[in-house]
Amino acid sequence: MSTPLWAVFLVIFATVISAFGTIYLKRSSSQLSAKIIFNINFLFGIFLYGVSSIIFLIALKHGDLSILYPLVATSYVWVGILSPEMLGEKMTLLKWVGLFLILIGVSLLGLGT
Amino acid sequence: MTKRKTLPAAIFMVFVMTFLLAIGQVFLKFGANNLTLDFLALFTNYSLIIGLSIYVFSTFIFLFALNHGEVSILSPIFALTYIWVSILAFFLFTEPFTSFKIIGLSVIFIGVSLIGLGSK
Repeated sequence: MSTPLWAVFLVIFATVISAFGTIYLKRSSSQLSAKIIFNINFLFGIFLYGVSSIIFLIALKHGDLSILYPLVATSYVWVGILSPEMLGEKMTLLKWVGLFLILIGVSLLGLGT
Repeated sequence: MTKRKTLPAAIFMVFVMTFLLAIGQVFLKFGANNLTLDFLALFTNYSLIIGLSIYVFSTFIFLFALNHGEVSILSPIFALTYIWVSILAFFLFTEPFTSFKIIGLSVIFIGVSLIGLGSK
């Protein structure tokens, strides 16, 4: 089946949401006990993961896995953009080069399937 | 003494996780093939249950690793899952390795390695 453009955008939207989810999970990770399941950052992060998965599954119903699956890798780019803002992490040139290579790699993967 | 931002142990933990997640994805794929609207059938969809359990378990391991590392380093390591899934798909579903695939996976591996090095 061909992949409509809106399915592509839906997946990218899902990856943005999952990137936010990852950030909130990181925020909760300093809580080292079982009580973490009551931590608001943890709950929100898991919630965002769930929303992202559902959106991705909807997109999958209407698009080709071999095109949509590699798009999931864009989530690492969003994390790279969000983590300096929201977590104070440093993005180095090396990290960006690595992310760029990952994107090239998944594009080749998509082409090769 | 500067505190290292991302412990190698955290990177290794996520690295091991990627194998688990690849297996989980295979189970989810089997489980998705058997998805029906029958709510009760979900409880006997063992592949789905195992796949989801692996993901839940992995999330908690990820949380533990996140406590000792930066997301901008640990998160991209999950890209390795593409490599393991491709290998599993080759053996389980005889999905062929094209040259594009091999080159793409190699580039992904190099990219992840660079990011891992970026923690030093």
